Amino acid sequence: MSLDGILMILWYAAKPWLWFIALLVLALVASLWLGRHKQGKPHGLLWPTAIAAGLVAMLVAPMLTQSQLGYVTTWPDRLVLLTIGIGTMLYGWLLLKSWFRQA
Amino acid sequence: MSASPTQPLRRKLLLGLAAGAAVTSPAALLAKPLRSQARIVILGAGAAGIAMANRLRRSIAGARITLVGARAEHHYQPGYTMIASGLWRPERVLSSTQQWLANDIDWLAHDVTAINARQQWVQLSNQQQLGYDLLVVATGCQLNYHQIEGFETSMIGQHGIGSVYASPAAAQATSTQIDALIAKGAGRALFTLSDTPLKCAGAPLKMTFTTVSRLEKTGQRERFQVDFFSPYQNRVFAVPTYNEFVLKRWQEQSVGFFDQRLLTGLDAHSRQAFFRHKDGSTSKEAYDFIHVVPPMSAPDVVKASDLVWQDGPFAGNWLEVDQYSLQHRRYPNVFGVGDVIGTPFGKTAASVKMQAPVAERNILAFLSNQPLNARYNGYTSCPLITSIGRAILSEFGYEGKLMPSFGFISPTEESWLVWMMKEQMLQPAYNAMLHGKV
Repeated sequence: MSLDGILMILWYAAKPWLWFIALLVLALVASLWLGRHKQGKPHGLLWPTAIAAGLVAMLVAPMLTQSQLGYVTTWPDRLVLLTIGIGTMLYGWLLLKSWFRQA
Repeated sequence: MSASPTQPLRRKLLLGLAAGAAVTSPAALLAKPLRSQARIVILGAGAAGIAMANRLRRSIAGARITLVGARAEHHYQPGYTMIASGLWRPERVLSSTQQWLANDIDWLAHDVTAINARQQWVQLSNQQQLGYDLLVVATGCQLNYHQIEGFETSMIGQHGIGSVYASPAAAQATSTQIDALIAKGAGRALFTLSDTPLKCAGAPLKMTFTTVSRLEKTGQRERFQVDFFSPYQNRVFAVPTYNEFVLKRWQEQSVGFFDQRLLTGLDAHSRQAFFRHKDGSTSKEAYDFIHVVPPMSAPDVVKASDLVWQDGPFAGNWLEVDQYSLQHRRYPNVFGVGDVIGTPFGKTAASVKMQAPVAERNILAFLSNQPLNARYNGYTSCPLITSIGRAILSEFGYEGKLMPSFGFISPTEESWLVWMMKEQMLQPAYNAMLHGKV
């Protein structure tokens, strides 16, 4: 399948979720903007919280697709699951980093 | 107007009309719209017909494109197995035909009742006669449930009868009947296969796998007997790799396999199914749930026309086309796409995705008096659900040759990723196909 074809299908897949993607971006922008004046070092719980969010996403993702974790068996399966986990972790970190600060 | 079918029908006229035909290759043909005033009629307002209408609308300027098909509601048929497995609501596969069509496509919401290929016209259910210069036959296939004695489609959802093919409602009713079997706490489920070419030939296998999955989930799988009846010898799928996989898996899952037995009749009230064996003998089997797969063919209107295969394995039942160019073998101004065509493989939505661009290119080449170079390789794809939550991405073409699209996905390995593709990505891909975008 051509790259054009793959991108076109991804676009069609994303279309029903554009509102959700917009919401995520909006939440991120709002969090960064509102928290821009917060001072202090990052809180020690920032990374553990982000990592926990990533792990929860990895556990929940198969169930959200009406499958189960036990069926994540091939290396592409694991790679996709890992990508979901890392993506959620990074998003969570960016979302919380302005707020998880200590004086 | 009449013309010999062996002559290049009205080609000179079409050539004159194809004023912008100064193109030399299929790629160039697609680069800018061809100018033509040809009257193009597309029979069938399903996936293949809609995809062809949108493609030709974009690639030909000036032509009058008419889509013929009565069904106002469009069904995403690859989703039927998801409904029948209790995973999707029927609404998820419903949309309107109109919403997929470009504004400047004439859609006549009538069925075709006659085709005269020699005189180049079709007749519609409102008695309208429609002449054409180029015909695309994309009517889909006909479900011949009536060939199963004692069976009517109204029985689906009653007396333990299910059939995934008939409609979204039938798929939902099938799921309800499987629920009823589970609620009973014990019983026998029969799964059948027809001896004709089938659209989505993997569907009967998927239904068996997902039902076993649901039975396993009860924790009392051993209380249910699951049996599969195939008319073929030691075969349930045309591609050996997948056939062997399925039979081996069923052995592991204690699914009984009975070959060379064709479902010929039902007694719904006593829940008995009648099978004819290869040696001509018959047998009857009691069931609590049965999944019926109807014999299939081209619609009667195609079978009654001169467009049907005259000899060979598809004689009298399927549209005669060259399996590579998709052009009719005797009427050069007729092309076929989708379930209706008589080719060794190619009765899935994924097949249409590959056939539509081939037919489009060859139609443009035909209108431009160019050689028909685009080739359909028989590609078809079926995410073979082996359990609720995982699947194998089976992709193959003529001669059963495996044709994996993604090098990183094994064509023989069960995978959650493939399941996700089936569950989440195939419908968007299908939608893009309807718009003629992939």
